[in-house]
Amino acid sequence: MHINLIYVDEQRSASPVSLWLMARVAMGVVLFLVAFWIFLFTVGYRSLKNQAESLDREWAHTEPKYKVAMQVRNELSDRMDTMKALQGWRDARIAWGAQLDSLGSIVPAVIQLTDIRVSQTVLVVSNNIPGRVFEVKYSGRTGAAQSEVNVVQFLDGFKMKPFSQFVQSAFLPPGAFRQDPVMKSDRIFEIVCKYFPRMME
Amino acid sequence: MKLPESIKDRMVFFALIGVVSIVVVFVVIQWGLFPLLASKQALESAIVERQDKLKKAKRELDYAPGIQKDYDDVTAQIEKIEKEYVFRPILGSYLVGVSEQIDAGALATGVRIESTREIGVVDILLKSKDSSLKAFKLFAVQVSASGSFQAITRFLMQMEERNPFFGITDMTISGQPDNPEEQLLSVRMEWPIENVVNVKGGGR
Repeated sequence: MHINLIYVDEQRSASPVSLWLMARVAMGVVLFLVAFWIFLFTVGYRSLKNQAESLDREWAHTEPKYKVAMQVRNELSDRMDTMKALQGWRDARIAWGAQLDSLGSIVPAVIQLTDIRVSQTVLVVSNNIPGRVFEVKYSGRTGAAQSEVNVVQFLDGFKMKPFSQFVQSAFLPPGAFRQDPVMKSDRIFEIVCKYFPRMME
Repeated sequence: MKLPESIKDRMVFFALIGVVSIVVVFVVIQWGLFPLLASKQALESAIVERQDKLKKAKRELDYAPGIQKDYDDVTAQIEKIEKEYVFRPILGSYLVGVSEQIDAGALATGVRIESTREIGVVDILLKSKDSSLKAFKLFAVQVSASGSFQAITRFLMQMEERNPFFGITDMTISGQPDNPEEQLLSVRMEWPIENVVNVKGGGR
């Protein structure tokens, strides 16, 4: 025989920790963790906000000086380009006075120059850099005796300094060495000197 | 609060709690947590960006005195070139000043100037359309003169030394059969000028 002396709603679990208590504790812990996370997040967020505002203030203070510095840098770049272009332009020329002055050192005494013609052509290379190319034609006369030797000696002079650093090639064009039609005993000649291109780099 | 008595009801009850909890967690994460995290992340990115910008600006400011000095130096050099070597027109004409220079050079070296003919203002060789030299042009003249070879050499040297931007582009020196000591000089000379003034002619 079984006698139940307790009502159903009065029944209690034999366990020291009820499921309901566990649920409430768990919920409390979760809520606490959520609240703690929100607190940390808020503190962190405010800190970041303050940091951003501080950076903004610093930038507002720095920006005008930075803009001026950048403007100076850009203008410096333009000025440097202008300066380089001016130097390139200057260096692309040839000082003809000095070239003529040096001529005396390579012209044999028995040669008389009758005509010197300097001409310039403009060259543009593949990367759009212009340059000057000079050509000089020397016309002269020399006595028949040893005339070939004299002319070759003059020609070789362009392979020596100071001409060697300017003259790319010096040559007698075909038919340029011949008898003088007036003074039959003399020889006349023409030497063409092509100068290295002077690029405006 | 009492839990339902039957196991079946309890299961339904807990399942309901589970579903509601999942929905609540989803809503909180989707419309609460994610936007907050995204906002924080955006703020952190903005801070990093501002720090980089500030660091770059400070580095630039550290170089600023040196850059300013370079700028002053280069500007002074360009101004010196413009002041000393770029020709200025006199009453709208460059020829007067150019002729003065040529005459002075000829007088000092013993060259006789026969004529100085104005060719005019010509374009300079430019690297490209936006070249830094677009601010300049050239004023060209054709000079005819005579003198000994040595005098002509000295004359040209003097002209070239006086202005390193002065240029000779075409030149002929011819001997005279009846006067071997005297050479005839025909030379095209060019001076840099500023690309601003509309120059009038005026040869002599």
